[in-house]
Amino acid sequence: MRRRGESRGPWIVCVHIPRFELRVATGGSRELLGRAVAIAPSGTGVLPIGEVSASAQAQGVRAGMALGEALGHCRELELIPGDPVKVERAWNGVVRSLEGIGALSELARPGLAYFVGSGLEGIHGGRDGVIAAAGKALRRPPRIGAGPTRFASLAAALEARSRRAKVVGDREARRYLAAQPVSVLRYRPETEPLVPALERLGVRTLGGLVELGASAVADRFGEPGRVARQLALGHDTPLRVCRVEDRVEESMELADANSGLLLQRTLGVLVDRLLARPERRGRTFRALILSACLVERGTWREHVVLREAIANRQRILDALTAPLGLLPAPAVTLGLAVEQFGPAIADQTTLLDGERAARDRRRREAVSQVHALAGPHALFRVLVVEPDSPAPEHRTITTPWAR
Amino acid sequence: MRRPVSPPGAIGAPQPVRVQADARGKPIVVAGVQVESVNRDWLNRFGWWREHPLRRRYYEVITVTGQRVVVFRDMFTGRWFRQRA
Repeated sequence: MRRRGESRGPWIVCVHIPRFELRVATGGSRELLGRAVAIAPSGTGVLPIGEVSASAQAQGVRAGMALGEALGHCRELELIPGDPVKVERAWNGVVRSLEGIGALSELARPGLAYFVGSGLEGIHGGRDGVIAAAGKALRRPPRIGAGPTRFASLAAALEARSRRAKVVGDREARRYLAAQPVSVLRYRPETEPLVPALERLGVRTLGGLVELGASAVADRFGEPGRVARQLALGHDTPLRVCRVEDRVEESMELADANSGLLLQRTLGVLVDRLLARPERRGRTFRALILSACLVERGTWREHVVLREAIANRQRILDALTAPLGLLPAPAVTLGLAVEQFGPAIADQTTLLDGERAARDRRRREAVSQVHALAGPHALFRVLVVEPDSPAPEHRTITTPWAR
Repeated sequence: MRRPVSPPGAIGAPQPVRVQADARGKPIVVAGVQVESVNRDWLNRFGWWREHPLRRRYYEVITVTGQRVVVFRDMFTGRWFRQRA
């Protein structure tokens, strides 16, 4: 293990598994990973590609690049569908393995996690022991870096080899960071957009960024520039660790015809099953994950945060109807999982409920009157179907308001 | 003529409009009204995986009557449409 300087204060370990999502999506196929492949764009709007293989990267293709640009760099680029559901499961497995050695991690994204190593020295016998334990805990050897800050440990991990951790000591951290390329900033969401601009300006290293001066950087790049300069100087925020809870989830196979009605009914059953799960212990749902295995290949996943924590079946179904409309292709199975629980029985808002019930009664009455006067197709409900579509007429549709 | 395909019950579906354009393709007359200025223009390419993908050149124009109008030219058919943005 390479060691340049002794670490005295708290130190952070960065665990990096390069191309984690791509590896999961390809099932770890070496043959596929050896070719120029990338995860196909998903969703609506601008279509950036996902992670890319080393071969594609060598031809100038980068994750986050627009599809057209990527194909311009590499005509042979093969696109494979992403598998967000499988990625999440695999990543949770990695995080649990780290928890198994006592490491509570900050999860930056699938394939990148940080934990405070100094707190585990007593258990694993010093810094080398902690790093060795982290490496052994994972089935696929990760790139491990250690340093006095999150950012320094990240830079070290990016430089480390798969079975050889890189450690940056306290005293040498600033000098070490100064020699690192600005591309390290891509791994932090708040500084990622700066990288192309810095490269265009000829600023190649973090040291070059520091030399520009605080006021010049703040003036030209604003808050992201200030953050980047602080990181380059060896200052960083504390870790925000989280624990992976056992997922409460339900799934159901779908029949051949994926009609809207069938999907709605299946969703209703899934909500009923989730509400009946004993692990819920009377708690409400705050965030849910709707997922599907698609008939062709790959999976689909939509994160739904509820406006308030609820356990009311109909309101949960209402909140899930629009996201269900985003399902990109026919599905084999539909799944629903609780990402975050809310407090227990938050529905006991008696005063508001009374008002809501009265408003519902008045609305039902108004709808009945309009239907009676002008016929059953006189009232329409506006449904948001593709809120991000660049074509305004695809964003919302009207459907008859049934009684 | 291929009309832009809108989902049933769509709100703000594009309406055909008569537009005269200059040599560079910028609208100079929209529905018989002279264009005062073109505020901005942009290209919308979307939904290549769909049966009817979008490829539209949009123009936001101000007419001599002071109206702000958004029109687009369907790049597949060359037809002009007014879009209620």
